[in-house]
Amino acid sequence: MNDSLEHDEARQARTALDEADTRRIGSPRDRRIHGIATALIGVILGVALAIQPESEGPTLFLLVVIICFIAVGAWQTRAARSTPRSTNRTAFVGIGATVVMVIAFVVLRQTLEVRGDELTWPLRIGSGLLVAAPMIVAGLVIGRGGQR
Amino acid sequence: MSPGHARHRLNPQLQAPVRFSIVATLASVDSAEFAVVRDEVEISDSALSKQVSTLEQAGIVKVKKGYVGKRPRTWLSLTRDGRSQWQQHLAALREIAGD
Repeated sequence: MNDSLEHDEARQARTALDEADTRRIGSPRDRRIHGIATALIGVILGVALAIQPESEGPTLFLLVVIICFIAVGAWQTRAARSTPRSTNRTAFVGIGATVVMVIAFVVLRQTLEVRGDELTWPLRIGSGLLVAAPMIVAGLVIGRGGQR
Repeated sequence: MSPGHARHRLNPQLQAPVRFSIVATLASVDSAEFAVVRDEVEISDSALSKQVSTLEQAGIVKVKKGYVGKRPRTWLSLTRDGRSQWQQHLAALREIAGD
């Protein structure tokens, strides 16, 4: 009788485990949305730093950049119905690396200003690419996702 | 491995089939819309609300309410403790299943 009880328990446990395995809702569509949004944030930031005007006041330019960020965030929130597993962690890692790159860019610019040197366009473009890169990579990782 | 049969390590909150399905669904994502979970588990809004409330009180599920435009939206996610409880429950099931 004990054997029968344990057999039933094992069968029920296996059924539950099979049920758990089938419940996966992180859709490829939602992965793509979060991946694209993450990469776009990086691109916007990289482009903004690369083309940031020096002679004009930054207010209108900054406003445009902020509006772009809000637009991407709003699209991401409206379009995605789930946040696939590890999306947030991957995005935060990308953001963290991007922040480091931004700080490096600011230090570079201030060093050049102190020395009286100009921030040339190749430097601007290179810096913009370096700033954008972490979040583009994070976006690709999110978009591809992990198949479990 | 803890002493005693694995059935004693099953989480009573997760033994109810509907709650089990809800948590299994949320375990596969960082968060999901209420409607997505409802459709996946195939229960009504009110039934899902009731079960989510129980899981929220048990500290397993987190509920976030907001708006997209003028439309209210509710997002569900597992808490850190909830994920831990889920993993422990699955471990007990695997032990019972003999895996």
